[in-house]
Amino acid sequence: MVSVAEPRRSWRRRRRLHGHPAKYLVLPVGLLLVLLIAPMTYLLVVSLRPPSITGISGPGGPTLDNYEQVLTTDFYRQVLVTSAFIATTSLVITLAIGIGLAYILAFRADRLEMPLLLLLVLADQTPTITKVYAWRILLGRQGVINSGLERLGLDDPIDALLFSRAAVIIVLSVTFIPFATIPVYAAMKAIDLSLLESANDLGAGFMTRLTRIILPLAAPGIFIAIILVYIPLFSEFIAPTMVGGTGGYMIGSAISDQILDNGNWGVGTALSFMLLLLTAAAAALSYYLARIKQLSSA
Amino acid sequence: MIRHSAIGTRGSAKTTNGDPAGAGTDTEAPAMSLVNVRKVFDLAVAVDGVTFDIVRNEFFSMLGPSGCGKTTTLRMLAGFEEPTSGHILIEGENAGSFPPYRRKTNLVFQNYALFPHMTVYDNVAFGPRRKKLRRREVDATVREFLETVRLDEYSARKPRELSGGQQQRVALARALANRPAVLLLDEPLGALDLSLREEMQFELKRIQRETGISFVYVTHDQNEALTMSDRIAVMRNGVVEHLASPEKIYLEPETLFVAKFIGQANLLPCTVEAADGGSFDVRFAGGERGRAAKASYRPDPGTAASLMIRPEHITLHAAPPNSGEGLRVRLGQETFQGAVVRCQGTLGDGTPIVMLIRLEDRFDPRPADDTSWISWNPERAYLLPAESDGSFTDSP
Repeated sequence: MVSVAEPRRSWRRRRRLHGHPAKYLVLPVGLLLVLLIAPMTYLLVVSLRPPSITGISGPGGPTLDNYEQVLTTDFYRQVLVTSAFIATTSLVITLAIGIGLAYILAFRADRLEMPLLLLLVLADQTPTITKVYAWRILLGRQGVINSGLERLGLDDPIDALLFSRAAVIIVLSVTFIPFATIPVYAAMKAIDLSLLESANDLGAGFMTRLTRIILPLAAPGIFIAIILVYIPLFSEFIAPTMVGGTGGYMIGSAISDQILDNGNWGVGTALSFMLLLLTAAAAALSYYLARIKQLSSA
Repeated sequence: MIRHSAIGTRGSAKTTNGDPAGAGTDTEAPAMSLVNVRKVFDLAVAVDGVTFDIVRNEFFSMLGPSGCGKTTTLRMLAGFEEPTSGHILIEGENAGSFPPYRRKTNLVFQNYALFPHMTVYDNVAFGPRRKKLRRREVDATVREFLETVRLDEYSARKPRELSGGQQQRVALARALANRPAVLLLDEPLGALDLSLREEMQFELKRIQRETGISFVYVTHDQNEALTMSDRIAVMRNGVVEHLASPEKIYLEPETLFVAKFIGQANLLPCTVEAADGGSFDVRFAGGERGRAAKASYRPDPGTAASLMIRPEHITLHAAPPNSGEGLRVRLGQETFQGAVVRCQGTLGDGTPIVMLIRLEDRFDPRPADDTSWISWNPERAYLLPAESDGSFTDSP
């Protein structure tokens, strides 16, 4: 039996019975090494190899040529700027909708709360490719919106609905709504309703209650939502490829094109690592902001 | 204009408020008036037609067991619930369906409901800031009320860094800083331990006197209500059973329920013999006679009744009292309580009785067969209807 009063002895005893605790870490650490660290290291090595037309890498020692090419070529610089613009705009839209939805779910839905939450999870579980095709049907030249407009008397279909930057932003914003809603909803659900009643009693109307009580107290959930949404938004490539056209070409599409179509592993992996760096920076910033928000007073 | 006039103003206040839509605030009007207020939830009637005024600078309590409608009434005063029918007037102005943030009332919540992400200062400043006061005015108000609750040194702390009693004071200061016409308090001392609760009772009374704001205090604790209140409304099943000063409620309760809910009451079954002028003669089952100076109703001779005597108003005798008015009692267990001894006993007809006897008046040693006699001052005895599970008693 393990005695609470004698932790040291019990620890020794357990060690004698079951061996050193480190042996239980072998499996998880091994899996992490084999499945994540090793391939990443390999990709890092490839990104530092000289470019080659025929194989993964050319002859010669390690070099930063691939990174230099990415940072100096106008095309790639443009892709980075476009990606940042699309990801940031989509994040803002997704958050605005997600926070609104979370508020309705947490405070207004009453009996509809559970059914709505279930719908949200279902929407989240639909494969991205299905969702993107659905959008093509909605936004396309012969799509639902354009044929509707035609019936209203507008003869020229609006091409810009599909294969544009706006199309990518619309599709991405909607796709990520569940990721933004659920953590914010969880944070709002934890707010004691008497706090809102007391703010109401002290003279606060709806907007004041929202900005002074609900949003500050839901801040940790909002920052989790930002991390959950912003990072995948940057690396998204299915939606940009299928509805983006040239205006919606994002860094994820560029990586997939370079590696799969051009066989240019050097530039593809260099782009991947710059994306990783960017998202790591975004995650660190969100984490830092969340801590500040929690520590400071409103 | 405190206790005694408060009862007197009820009638006249009602007539001045005959027009609920009257323009603006009436400085003569009571702080708050409830006119036939009813609240019906899905299936249950929570408040069933309540009418009373809360006068200015009054400490008013709503007292009753849980489910009696006192909290629902308070939430209607605050604006969190809308009455199904009836009117609520605040300083003579019909509050109608005004939301809480447009009412001149503020509520101290049972769990304090302090904003956890704000400092004590920001919590107290929350109300004044909503009124778009200047920074200097907000600051002066916050300092004033933190001083009132004696927490001026804690303004930079967060609520979680304070004790329960201190949080309670912050909640009080925050509600007072809005300078309400009426401060509503929902069992605010429930979560505190006994000694702190007693200390806060004096504090609340002091703060009410200092600020001159009317307090409406909801509690199920009769001691709290008796200690602090100018007037008490005892509620049961959604109606006010008795509304009066603490002394009046204790000594001359209007109903059997009030008699039993407030303090301890001996209710002796008896029959009314004669009801002449100022006093009532009664006869007990064993043929003994007794007298009571007052009654809660107009008893007819020959009907059954209950004679109420508080435990501390009973005198013990070793022999039958000379007046011939007294009851034989068989003494039971005694409990020493410091200043008094609590004696239990049984009357001839089996009615249990409780007496509080001063230490020097108790029998020492006790009578051999535990038998003695009790008497009482008729001025301290009070006649109530017979206990009969609500049905009428028409004994000949």
